[in-house]
Amino acid sequence: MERIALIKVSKKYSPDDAEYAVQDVSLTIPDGEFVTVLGPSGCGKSTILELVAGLSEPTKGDVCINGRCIAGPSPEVGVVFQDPALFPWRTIRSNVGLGLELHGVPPEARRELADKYIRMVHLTGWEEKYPHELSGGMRQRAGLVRTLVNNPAILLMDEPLGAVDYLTRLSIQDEIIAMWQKEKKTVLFITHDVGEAVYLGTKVVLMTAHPGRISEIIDVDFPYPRDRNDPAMLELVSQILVKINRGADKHAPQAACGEQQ
Amino acid sequence: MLTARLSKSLKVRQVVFIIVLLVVAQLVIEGGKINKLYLPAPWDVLVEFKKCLSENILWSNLLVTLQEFGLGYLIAAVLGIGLGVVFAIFPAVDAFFTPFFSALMSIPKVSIFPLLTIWIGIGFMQKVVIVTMFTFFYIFFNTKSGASETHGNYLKVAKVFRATKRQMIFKVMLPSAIPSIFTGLRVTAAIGVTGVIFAEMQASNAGLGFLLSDAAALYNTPRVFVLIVLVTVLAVVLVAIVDWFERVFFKKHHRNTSVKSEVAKQ
Repeated sequence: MERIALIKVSKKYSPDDAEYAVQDVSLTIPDGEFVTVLGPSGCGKSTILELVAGLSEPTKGDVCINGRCIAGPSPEVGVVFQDPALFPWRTIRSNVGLGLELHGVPPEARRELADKYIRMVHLTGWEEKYPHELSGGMRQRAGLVRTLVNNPAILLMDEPLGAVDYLTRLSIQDEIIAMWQKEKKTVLFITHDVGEAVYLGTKVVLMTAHPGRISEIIDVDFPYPRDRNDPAMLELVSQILVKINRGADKHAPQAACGEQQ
Repeated sequence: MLTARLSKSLKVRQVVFIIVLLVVAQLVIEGGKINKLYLPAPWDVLVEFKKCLSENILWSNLLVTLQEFGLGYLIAAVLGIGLGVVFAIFPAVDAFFTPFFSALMSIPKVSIFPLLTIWIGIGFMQKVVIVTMFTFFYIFFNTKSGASETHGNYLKVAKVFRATKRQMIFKVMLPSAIPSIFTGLRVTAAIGVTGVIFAEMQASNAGLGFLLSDAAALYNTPRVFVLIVLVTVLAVVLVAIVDWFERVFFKKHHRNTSVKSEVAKQ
């Protein structure tokens, strides 16, 4: 079954914009896939996530979730942002329970569920703390379970690890894979880190900028759990880097390509 | 930064400074260098304070002032916070009415005082209205900017959780506007005291402002000084109460964190 489908989607943020942020993007993601979207900054990868999240509407084309075209955020979709934006006036437990609270889950059930997920990301003991008392990596974990606790079938992640330190990033990557395998979710993961895209994804969607388009979709067939130092995977990473550099040369020779680990 | 010890010895020196100043004033004025009618000696002010207490005029008048201030301030807070939120939610309302509110805010409120006298007389309500006029706009504009500057990411989070408009307001915008609402409330606690004292001095038969203009009319300068100290203390105490209220009930609202800001620090 197709969980996510973008059908000839183009997006301009303002009618005056000379160029589309994304142009003619078509992409279908079947149930249970882990798709990573990779590209230089300004290639519209976050725009794609916003469209699928229902946070903005396409200028042309349709975005469909479970076969139905959407016009706003849908209940099956959970979103994790780069900035977890935990509410500073709420404790970790109450931040994690936010979605449940907004949808009328009674306090007892809320607490129980929140604590279960807090345990899952090793934040037990921090339930009553406020976000400013946690490290960046811990906040990102809390932000992750704030979404997971609502049990969305589809998970969208917008560079969730772009701002956490390297070692924390590796461990959260493994937690995300473990969660994905256990809970059988469909994931759309935006990143500018080639190594991360290949390590996590079953497919890597490569994008180019100006305007944002999909240039290639690459299957990543390595079985999980993967080895970060698998030579075949490293080979794939360098192949993708070459492709990105070529794309960057074509459009803007001086533009930096996607960062790498 | 001053160390704790340094700042303690600094405080001691400041207190000594004040005492020396008072003693010098006492000696100079008692020595007849300055006419006591213009500047009373510190000791005379203390004596006058005791006299005021024994005449039992301070408490009843303080109470009147507090009631006028309290009601006016409360009305301003309810209206200011309420309208501030409404303006933050409806950009069309904001765009249309804000220029008018800015214009109204610019009117020196004291110039309206004679009009108020004509409209509602010189009683209790006139003081209440003056306090509200003095304080409303600060609270309103602070609430409005606080609520409309709600971190875009907080709103995004609430949106993907499909929060209703009502939830958006009460669970996201208002809590995140708390620090700026309290900035407004803190500033206006002092401004409101100015308003009520001014109004009482103009025309009234009760309140600290009334006592003040009454004492001045009788050239009772020691009493004028007693009252000046008293209204100053009143303003300081009111601001402290607002601070205390925020600390106790809304302390946690004051923290703002994001992964990005932490990375920027590294």
